Amino acid sequence: MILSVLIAGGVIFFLYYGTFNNLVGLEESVDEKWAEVQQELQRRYDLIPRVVNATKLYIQYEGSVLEEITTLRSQWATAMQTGDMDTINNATGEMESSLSRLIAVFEAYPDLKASQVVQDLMVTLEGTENRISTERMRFNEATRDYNRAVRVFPANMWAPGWGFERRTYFEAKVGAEEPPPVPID
Amino acid sequence: MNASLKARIVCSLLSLLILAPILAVNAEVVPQEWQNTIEAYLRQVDVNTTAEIVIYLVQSLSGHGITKEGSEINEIVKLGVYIFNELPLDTPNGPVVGIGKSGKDNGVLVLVAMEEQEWRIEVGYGLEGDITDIESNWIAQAHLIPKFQEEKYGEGLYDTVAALAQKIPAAQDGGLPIRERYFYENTATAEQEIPWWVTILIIAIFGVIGVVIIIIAYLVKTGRVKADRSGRSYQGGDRSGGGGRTPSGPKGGGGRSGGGGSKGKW
Repeated sequence: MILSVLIAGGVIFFLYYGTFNNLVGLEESVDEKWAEVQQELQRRYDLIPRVVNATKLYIQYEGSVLEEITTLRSQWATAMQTGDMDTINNATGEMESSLSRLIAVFEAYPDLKASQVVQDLMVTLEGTENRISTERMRFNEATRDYNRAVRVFPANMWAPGWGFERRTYFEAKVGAEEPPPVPID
Repeated sequence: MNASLKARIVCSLLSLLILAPILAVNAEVVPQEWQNTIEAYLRQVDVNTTAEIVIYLVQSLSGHGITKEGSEINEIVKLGVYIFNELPLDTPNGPVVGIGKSGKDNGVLVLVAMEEQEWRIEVGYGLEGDITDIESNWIAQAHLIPKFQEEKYGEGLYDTVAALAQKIPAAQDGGLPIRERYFYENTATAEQEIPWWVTILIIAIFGVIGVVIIIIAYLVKTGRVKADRSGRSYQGGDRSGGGGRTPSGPKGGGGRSGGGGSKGKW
């Protein structure tokens, strides 16, 4: 009798701590991947002024696009500081759709495409967008694994008490999932 | 060797003879001599720099059969990221995941899609400083695109990887395990239409084989032909199970990438 109680107690003890450690590991992975995403988003943030400056001379008539992008860029930075996923998703989506409008403008100006400086900047921008979408995919996969672990038995009994809550995915709300196409043939 | 076995061998040889021209429809894009030259060159690069440059050629972005979570990856950047980081590249020593050395992340993937005329250079995390996105684009503009436009695919790929390799510094720590294979050609396409007469022919061949087996079985049963059961040994079951991740033992692989590099069309 005493033995079986001890065994049952031992099983529950290991299950309890095993679940806890598993959740800690998964949450750690989500945070780690979010840091990667942030790094790439920062790269885009730093790149935008260079793109705006390099193209200003060529597209005076479409200056509003550049102004808009500059405004959205600073709004995005504010959103990032809040740390709230929904706010970040909205701001990122708006910036991405604005970026794809800028790219459409590039396509309309042959002088712009002919410039080596602009072409290199476009390649950098494209590389940045690809990095963002890759790290975003990895972050969302880690988030999915974590959310799944939080919701399954027996973790679902204890996880809320331990402070493990479901995480929000990083999905740009307005913009497309795909990186904006870059017109370089 | 008994009559049944003989008959079966004759039948399979016959069917092979008929099927051979059909199987040969998907010819190689890059001639074998160029593949050998590229393999030898990239092996040398691996020895000298420990960096792993892999070429992966697909006939088309649809039909190549590389899937993630059940659906085929039809976008060249995503396909590149997947091949680079998650596809076990089948080498003679077993499947290896990740291009570049583990921890150094010094891999480069050159991916080309023939039908769509798209190219993609994916650079591992560890080489992003040596080969920037801009530089990888320049290299493709200077070497890959002009040669591919002339349909000199082997030469174009060789020049491209040679230019990429020149950006990579020599290794301080030699003697690391190297890859087994650097060149992959995936010629599968979505619309492999088999003409109706081939289908009928294949059915007919199997029908003939079946009839022959039945006749022989009948002859054996009635005692007109003696079955020899002693000298036969089937060597089944010696293949290792598929889908294995990186097995232990010295070999390259294990590097990671995150979407760095460039892409374009020719």
